[in-house]
Amino acid sequence: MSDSADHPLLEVRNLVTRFSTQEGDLIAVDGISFDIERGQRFGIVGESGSGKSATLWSIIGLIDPPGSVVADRISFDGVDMLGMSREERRRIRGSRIGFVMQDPLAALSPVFTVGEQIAETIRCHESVSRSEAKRRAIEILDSVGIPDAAERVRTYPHELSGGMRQRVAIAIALACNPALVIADEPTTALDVTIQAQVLELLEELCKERGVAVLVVTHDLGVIGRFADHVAVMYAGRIVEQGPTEQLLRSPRHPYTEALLVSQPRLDSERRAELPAIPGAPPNLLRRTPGCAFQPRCHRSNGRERCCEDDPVLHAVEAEHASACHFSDELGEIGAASRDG
Amino acid sequence: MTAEVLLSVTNLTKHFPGRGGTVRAVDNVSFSISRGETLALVGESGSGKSTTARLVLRLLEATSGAVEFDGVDVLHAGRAELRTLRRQMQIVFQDPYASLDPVHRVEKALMEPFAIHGIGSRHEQRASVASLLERVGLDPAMGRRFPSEFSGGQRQRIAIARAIALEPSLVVCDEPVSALDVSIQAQVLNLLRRLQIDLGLTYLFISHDLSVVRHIADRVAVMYLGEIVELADCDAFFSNPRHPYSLSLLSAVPHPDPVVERSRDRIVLRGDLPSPSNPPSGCRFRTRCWKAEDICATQPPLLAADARGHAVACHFPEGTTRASGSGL
Repeated sequence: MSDSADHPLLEVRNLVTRFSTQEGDLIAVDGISFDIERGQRFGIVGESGSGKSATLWSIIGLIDPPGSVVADRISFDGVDMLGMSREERRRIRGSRIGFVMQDPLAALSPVFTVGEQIAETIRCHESVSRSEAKRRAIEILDSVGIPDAAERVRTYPHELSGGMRQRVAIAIALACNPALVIADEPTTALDVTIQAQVLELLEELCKERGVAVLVVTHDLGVIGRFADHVAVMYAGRIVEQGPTEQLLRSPRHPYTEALLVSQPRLDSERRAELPAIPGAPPNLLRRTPGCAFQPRCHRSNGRERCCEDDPVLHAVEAEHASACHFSDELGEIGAASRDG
Repeated sequence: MTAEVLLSVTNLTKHFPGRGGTVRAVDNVSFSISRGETLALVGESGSGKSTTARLVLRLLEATSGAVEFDGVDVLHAGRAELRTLRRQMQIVFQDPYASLDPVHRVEKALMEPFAIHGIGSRHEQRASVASLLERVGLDPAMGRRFPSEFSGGQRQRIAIARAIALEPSLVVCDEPVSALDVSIQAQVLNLLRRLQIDLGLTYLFISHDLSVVRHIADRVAVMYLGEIVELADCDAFFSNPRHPYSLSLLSAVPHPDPVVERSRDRIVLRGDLPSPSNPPSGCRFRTRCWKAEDICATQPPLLAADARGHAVACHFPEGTTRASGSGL
């Protein structure tokens, strides 16, 4: 591959993903751009319909008709992925880019042992012997914290708990030493105590191996815990982007701000009424002019600019960008929400 | 508090026969709920919290134990008695996509409770449905639509409307916001809260989400492998959790402030939930507990309350008062 210093690991420019439906074109992802650096833990947070998962699937080329993907550029390690053949893309998936899905039971085959599935991933991408692949499968199961790995390679997915299955899925994702792991709601299907284990594991392994992670989630807690950089999506667009700490402490988009204060938290003051976000996300088939969040925004107050001009993502500070016309009106919410 | 007890559950037990041995889904669970109160049942999957709710409503038959609702013996109620009881005890399920029949207009789904119990003429039923929809924050004209035309949050409002249609006194809420988007959860929690005040409802609130529980509950019961391991007032529980499992649950909730999140001490439990068909001897939590000693393997700890009614089932409970929120 090309030398690694001068370009980001993953570069996405002006990605548009649309699905044609009987009622017209649904624009699931509406012109988003972002970079992921080597070893970075990048989070995309959004609700259902925000386009966060469609973004993932578009990047790795898993959007099939009636969906279509266009972009100015999607490049991985300096190599253009849009121009690749299916076969070339397949070779990158599973080797240089690993995956962890929300539901490990759906991601694993029920008829092969976990050892066979890890070994197959390795042999699919590297020419190693069966015994060598098996040896590596045991090694990697051991590294994801599965006790008695030499024994467990012979078990089937249904014999494992949800947390153990997700560990196996992580083992498969890391089997060929990828540079990037893409994780789609990796902890959503797991219980809280197991979530903590899995996040910790993913973080440790990726730090150890210098692997970058793109994690997609609806849970701001997971973002705060795991990501060093975050993009907030709403109605197919990135509405705010920046270093996690700065963005969660001083959000510069009203949607991020509203999400943060509407959630009950363990350390917030108990109030009778939560400051809820009114209404529901917009219909992506019928885009209206102006800001997509405007009808639900607590700061817009029907201002003309919000209703008429499409806001663009602009820098508000180094590395921190917001797509709100009035991003200057937002500041640190910390004090207010943390202490009630 | 000397409020009137509406629901009292004593030694409730449910064993399912299974291939790998009897699954002890709910084991000797006891609690009571006063009128107008919210008791949260907290636990992970497999803890028995949903099974407990179904036993209380008699959607499942208990193996043993007693459930008394407003003076009526629920587990031995006959058909007619049960019918009357069911007007008084309702449930809201987690998934509003599964709980509404897709081929029925919302209006029909909401008229059904009245029809089943033979309340009012069709005209009166329609009027009741309109006011129900309004009560849960929906436009009465929406009654003509089908469930597929509604978002998840709106569907959950409809499910809530159906649950309160016959003016019940107890509503079981089984993870009512878990399937909803974050921006919608607060709306539904606010609605549940308002309805409780307006209609004097009593909630048995089942959830795995401790932040939500802290917001909505008056008292909290933590379940682990079919047993209640801690039961306390909400404030006491969150400021001074006493069971090691409760501590680990609280510690596992990720904090959205990265500075707090990275600086705090986390308790990450070892291993998985053991099989409920073969629970550990003694204390069921001991295989994952960092405080476990020999006695924990031989003597099951009893749920014992202190002077203020804070009950914990542990041989080595956390004792000293902790500063609110520290480290959690």
